[in-house]
Amino acid sequence: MAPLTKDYSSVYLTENLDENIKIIKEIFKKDSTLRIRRIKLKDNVNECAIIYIDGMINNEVLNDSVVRPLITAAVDIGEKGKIEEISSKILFVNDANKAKTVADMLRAILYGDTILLVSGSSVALSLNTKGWRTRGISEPQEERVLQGPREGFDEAAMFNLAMLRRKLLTPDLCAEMLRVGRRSETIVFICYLESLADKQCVKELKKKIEKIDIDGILDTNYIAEYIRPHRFSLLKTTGTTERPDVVAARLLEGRIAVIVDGTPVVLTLPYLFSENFQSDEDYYLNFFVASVGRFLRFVCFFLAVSAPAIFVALTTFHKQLLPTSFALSVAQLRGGVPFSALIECLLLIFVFEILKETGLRMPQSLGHALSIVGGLVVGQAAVEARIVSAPMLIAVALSGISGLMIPRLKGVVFYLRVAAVLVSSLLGLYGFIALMSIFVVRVFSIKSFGVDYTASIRNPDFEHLKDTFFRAPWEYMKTRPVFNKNIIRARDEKDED
Amino acid sequence: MKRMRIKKILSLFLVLILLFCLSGCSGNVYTQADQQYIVSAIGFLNKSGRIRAVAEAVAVNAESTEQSVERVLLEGEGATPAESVLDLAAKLSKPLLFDHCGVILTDATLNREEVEKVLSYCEENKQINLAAYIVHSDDIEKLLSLKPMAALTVGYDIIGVIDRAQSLYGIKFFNRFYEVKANVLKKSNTFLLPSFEAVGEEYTISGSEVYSSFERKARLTNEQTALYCLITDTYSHGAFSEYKIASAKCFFDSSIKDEKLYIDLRIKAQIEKGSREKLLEELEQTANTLNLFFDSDIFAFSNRIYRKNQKVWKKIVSKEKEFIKNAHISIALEDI
Repeated sequence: MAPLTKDYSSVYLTENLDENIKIIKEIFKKDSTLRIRRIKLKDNVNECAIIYIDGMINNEVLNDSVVRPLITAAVDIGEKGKIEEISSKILFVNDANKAKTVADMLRAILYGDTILLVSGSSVALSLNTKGWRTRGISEPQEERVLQGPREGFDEAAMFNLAMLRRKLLTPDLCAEMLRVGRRSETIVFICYLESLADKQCVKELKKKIEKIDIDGILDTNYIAEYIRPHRFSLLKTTGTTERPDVVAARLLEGRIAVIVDGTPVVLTLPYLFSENFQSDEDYYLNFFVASVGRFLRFVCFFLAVSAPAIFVALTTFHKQLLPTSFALSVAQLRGGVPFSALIECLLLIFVFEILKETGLRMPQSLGHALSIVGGLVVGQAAVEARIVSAPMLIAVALSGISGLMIPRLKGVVFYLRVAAVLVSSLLGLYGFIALMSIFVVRVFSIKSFGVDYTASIRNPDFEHLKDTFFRAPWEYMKTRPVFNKNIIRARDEKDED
Repeated sequence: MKRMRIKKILSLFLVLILLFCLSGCSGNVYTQADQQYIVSAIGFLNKSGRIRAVAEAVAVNAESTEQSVERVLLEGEGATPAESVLDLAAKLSKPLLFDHCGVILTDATLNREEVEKVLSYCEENKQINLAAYIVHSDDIEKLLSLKPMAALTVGYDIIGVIDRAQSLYGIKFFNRFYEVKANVLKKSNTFLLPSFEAVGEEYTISGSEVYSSFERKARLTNEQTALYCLITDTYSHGAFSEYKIASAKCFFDSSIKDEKLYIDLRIKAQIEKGSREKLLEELEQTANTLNLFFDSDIFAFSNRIYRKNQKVWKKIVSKEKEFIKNAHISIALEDI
């Protein structure tokens, strides 16, 4: 089995430069991007070697700050403490750390740093010459806003952390670095505000992340699936965002963020059920406008889950509940459809999901054409061909469009919608109500990192609901959400103690 | 842990069984409305000693290129209303849907027992809507075979005609199925049904029929129906004959003197002064003649005495009918 980086933790560097280079060469024997350059210092006594991976470093920085000073510097370095002398008197690099083991050296090389080995020294220098390209700051596609900050995270964790720091100019912001993934050794940051976050929660989270045993971490979802409570629940118990302003806001509420290198998606926790209905924009718009949007999202969640199910139940079991004219209209428009209401409904739900998925993966220019062909042409043709009925198409379309209002619950909505249709077609409204009751009980029984998932709606008072069904003006949001006992509740520091 | 899981599975199983029972799936055909005959009206009449059920239904024509609905008239016969409906349903290719049955018609040919049976049948047939209107007609078959004037079916059109008549004349028939059932349960067992008459190719409300103890007791014209409603305190506001009444309320009092029942009706109505005396005269005439003429408590006085004057009720209870028939009815018409 190929050795992992951590396997070299106990392999120490020697004072023999050739031997150290040999070890590195042996490790990277099949990697043609590794570059090793030997340099004779001006004193003609000491020799050194710089090791880096091509493409991951900034050549300009390396040449100007490392190679040139090493070749030209006329500094006499003694026999002892050579590395310190070079670091402090010759190099122009802002960040130079010592590496004593081969593992330290490997981590630095693989992260875009340059290693400087000096003959007669058993300590190497890891020099900050990172120069890999990043995508740059752009607005996240999934979290667009009409008003408010438009910057989004990048794939580089360090830059993401910097963006976060720019929002929170306080030394209270902690960023603990971990490496996760046996082979990928992905850099993970646990960020929190020390005075606000629950220490116990941070400790537990750290322990959980350290326990993760996986080959590689390529996205935050890898970590989310390992650490989140109720792993097999459809409901999210960890939040995700690509926006630094959202992470900053959540940290200010006493939450914890997990930044993973290689992905712009940042995890935040604990996560409450009501957050599924919140939009980033809610806090940047007038509270009246934001509250309308918030309320609509709750209504849309109900419609998304229940519109087809209630329609199936009413037209199959409870026809007496339909107004007579509507019942006649449904009967007339359904005439000739060969499928039962259940099959008709499931068929439409799956077609809608296919159209939605295709629209997501398509180039934007083709997306419009697809929505016209899929939604209008196919829909109308299906109704005219009597494969489906118009009222059912309307019910499923209403449900589908409503579901788009709450993207954070899309998985739950789909499964719940299908389950509700199945139960309603078997047991009518009784089945639907039973399913909804089970769902409500389940939602109320979930906890996210020790916090009740429904903490914000358990107590129906203004204090709890001020940021749930509506968004109260900032003036009235004097306390932070109820998460844990450790946080300072009052946003207004005067109210502390 | 294992026991907990078994408990959970068992409780889920129990919930499912309970839901199946609650959903009432057993014994009924649950299909979409387009695969059923949607009954809009069902009438019962007596033909040569047997009950004949005549139903007006709507059926979707699935074979047609255009999605169209057709109105059909269905008939069946049997010894009881249930049998006649069964006979009617047996001839059909699709099941009947009674959930949207808007009108239940009774015929003049039905006797007291048969009217009772029809109402019992409608109560037992859980699918018949409790809000359906009960209507009287002398010729159900003809009425239902006419072309509807402003709706898809005669049944649904009749509902509109009744509602319109009620709001125009100010009368209240209280002829919905649950209202009739409520009146049947009262002491007087009296209810009023609108009477429909088919004239040529049209139909209209010709008046009303007063039923007492399931027996058809009196036929009233539209004007008499309005007066009846004023006396029984079921009048709201409207116009009839030359009278225009903005609002009306009837206060009831009863007493007994020398073995004679005295009924005092004090009607407070908002009416033009000029027509008050004439209205009072008509009210007195209607109250006394109808009460005396028909061998029944058609104004449901017994119920009002029972509810408002227990002392009097106890005295008349043994000979209730006789007392009410010979009662002295005095009416006072006051301005509000």
